[in-house]
Amino acid sequence: MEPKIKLENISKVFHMYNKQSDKLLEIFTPKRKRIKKSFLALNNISFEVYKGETIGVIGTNGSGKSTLSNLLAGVNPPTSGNMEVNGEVSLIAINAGLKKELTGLENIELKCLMLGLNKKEIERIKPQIIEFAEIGDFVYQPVKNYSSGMKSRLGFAISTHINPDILIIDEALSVGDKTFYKKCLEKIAEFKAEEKTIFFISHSTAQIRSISDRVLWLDGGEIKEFGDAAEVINHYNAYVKWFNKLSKVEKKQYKHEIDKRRSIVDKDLRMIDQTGSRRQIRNNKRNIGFFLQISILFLITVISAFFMFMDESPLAYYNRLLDDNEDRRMQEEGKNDSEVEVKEINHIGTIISPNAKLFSDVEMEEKITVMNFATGVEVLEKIEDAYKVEYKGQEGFVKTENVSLEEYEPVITDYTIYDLKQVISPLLETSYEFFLAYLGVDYNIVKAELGGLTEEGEINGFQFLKYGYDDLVFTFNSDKTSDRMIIENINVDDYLIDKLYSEASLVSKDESMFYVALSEYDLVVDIENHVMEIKLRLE
Amino acid sequence: MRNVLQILKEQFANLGLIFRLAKYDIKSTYQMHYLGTIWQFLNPIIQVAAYWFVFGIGIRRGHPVGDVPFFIWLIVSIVPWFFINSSINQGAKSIQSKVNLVSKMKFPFSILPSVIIVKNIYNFMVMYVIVIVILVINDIYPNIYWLQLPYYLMTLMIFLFAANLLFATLSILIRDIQTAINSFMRMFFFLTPIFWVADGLPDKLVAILKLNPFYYLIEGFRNIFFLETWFYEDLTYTIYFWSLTIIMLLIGSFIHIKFKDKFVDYM
Repeated sequence: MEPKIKLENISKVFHMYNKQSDKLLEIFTPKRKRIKKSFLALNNISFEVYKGETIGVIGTNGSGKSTLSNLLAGVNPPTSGNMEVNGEVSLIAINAGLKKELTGLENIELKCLMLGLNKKEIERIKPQIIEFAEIGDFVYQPVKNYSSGMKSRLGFAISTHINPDILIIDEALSVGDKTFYKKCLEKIAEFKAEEKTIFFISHSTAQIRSISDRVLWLDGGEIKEFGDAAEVINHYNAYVKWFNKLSKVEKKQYKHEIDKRRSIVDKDLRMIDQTGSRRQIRNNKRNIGFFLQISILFLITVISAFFMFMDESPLAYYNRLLDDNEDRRMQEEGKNDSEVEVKEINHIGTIISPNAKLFSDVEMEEKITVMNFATGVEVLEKIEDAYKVEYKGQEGFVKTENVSLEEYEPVITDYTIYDLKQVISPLLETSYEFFLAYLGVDYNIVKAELGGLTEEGEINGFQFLKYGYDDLVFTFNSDKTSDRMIIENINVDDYLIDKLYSEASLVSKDESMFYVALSEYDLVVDIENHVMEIKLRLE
Repeated sequence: MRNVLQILKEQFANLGLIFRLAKYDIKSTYQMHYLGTIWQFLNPIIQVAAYWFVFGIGIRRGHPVGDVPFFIWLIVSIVPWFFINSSINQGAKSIQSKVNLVSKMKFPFSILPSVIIVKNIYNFMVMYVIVIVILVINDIYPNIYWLQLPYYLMTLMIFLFAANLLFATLSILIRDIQTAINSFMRMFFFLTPIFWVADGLPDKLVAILKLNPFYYLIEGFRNIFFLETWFYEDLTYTIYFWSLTIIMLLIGSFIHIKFKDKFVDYM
């Protein structure tokens, strides 16, 4: 038959720490170098227990009974040896695992939850537990108000109702009264009938005799005897009788001898540890991998933290390094053929982009001005992707894409300047013709005669006067004569705009601006910004 | 890595248990209160009101941050902070406070830090829905950047789990950790730009502040709603944050597994 519980050479050592910091030191010092006092709670315990057996455990105080029960319940691990436990273990000890602040009912719920029961199961067994524990209305009181008997009853009730395979009862019944004790015995008998394994730990030989099949006698952390209940109990009783007859001095001496045997120093400990030495080597290998992972991650953390202090991202930093190399290479190549290709053109060109910028240098860094769409420029030279041009008396550089060298003949349409009235705001409509008369007029006259000036200044090197109430701006050329009238907020959704667009002589590359020649006037419409410019055509 | 996998396996195997324990925890915390679980929301609302009044009205004189009203700017990041703060403070003592209860039974200790996170996340989610409603009322509508919300929520969860596992285990071995975490969290509340604006500080100072991982999380939520940037745009910082988180997770799992059998001995 498969044993339910099997222990082989189990030992449990408790370390004695003098200070709190000694505990910490143990974590960081390797096992071999530790020096400390230890206490051998269990020494070389081996036994097997089968299904349906009830085992009584007896022994004097400090013989290792509770340590054994904790080991069996899986609360503490053994220091060395092999342990096999097949099944769910439930440990009942005096006020074991009850939370003082919570009520009895809450303790039942929490305990069951922690044992992995679901809500339905808890609801089912809760009344059974309350009934069995016989604590009445105290179930709604915090556990700290309970008597020790109540606590042990509640603990017993919970532990037995969660249906364990192996039940360990550690002195739990010694505080209950006769009636409850009887009830517990009935419950234990029920368990026995269900072929469950029970460990019964007690000082009372009478209790043990009545329910145990076999008895384990522990003395000084070792098995003194394990066998038939009546036999072991008789031997134990005889031993207790003998011990009690001893004189005080003899008792002391006897106890001292046992303690001496059980207190060990690190040298002996190593002997016990040796069984686990092979596992130790494998663990060491694993630890190396762990520390390697940690160091790599730590390195990444430090590097990324370093780059957070740099102004640029690592990628930009890398690109810059590449670029620097590239530049150096370029410079070296530049020495070989320092001649940049220059082509003479000397041709009239037209600006075909809105906001084409004129630069004073071929690298296009120093901006001089912005050239108006559809104005003509004298293209002098082509230097790589730039034209050297002359615009309104200034020489400069412009991107080739902004200038067209194609000649075009403006097609004069049938529309007149008066047709534009329908796209301007009604406010301006009445005074539109009056304002038109000021095109081609001297700056001072315009300023003196027109009312409603809101802003004046210079833009791209040319003076302007703004009449904000009428959505109107006059700009002046270098002779201080008004050459353009700019009307803002025009209605670009009007069908007239579409018609004008279809007859445009020139359309900007992005199709946001177009140029139409009316009779006597040139018109540029900026669809995107709702602006049109009217210019007197110079014949 | 093996340790991490084992810890994660324990989490998923006990998912039901985690949720049940969290639910029980929420219920029992406010059981003796007349207002019950309403306190869960009342508490942060009172705090937000106080911070808004002191910093928004008192110090900033109601000036918006950029074009975002200060109140909106505050709640987007203070609500995650409440979640972080309570999770880490409670998480650090999660194992220690339950050891007595579970000492007499076999119990997967590593789920206790998760229970704390799940317990607090319920409150956080409800609060964040309210925050999003307030955002929409103030004309900040969902856009493509909002897709990052799951990323930041997941990041938040993983970071908190790593931190809780590490601190909960350490505080069994060294009790001082709990007290230290309490005061450090108070310090980080001020060192993280939650109610103040980091823009305009010297770059080097901001870089030092960014070493604090909470900065990443808190800024993350603002990136979604106001700055409209993607989390991978500051790649260096993302790498820094994740490597730090994974280090914590590795060390936490390592010492947890190494010492979990001895927790009872250390008590």
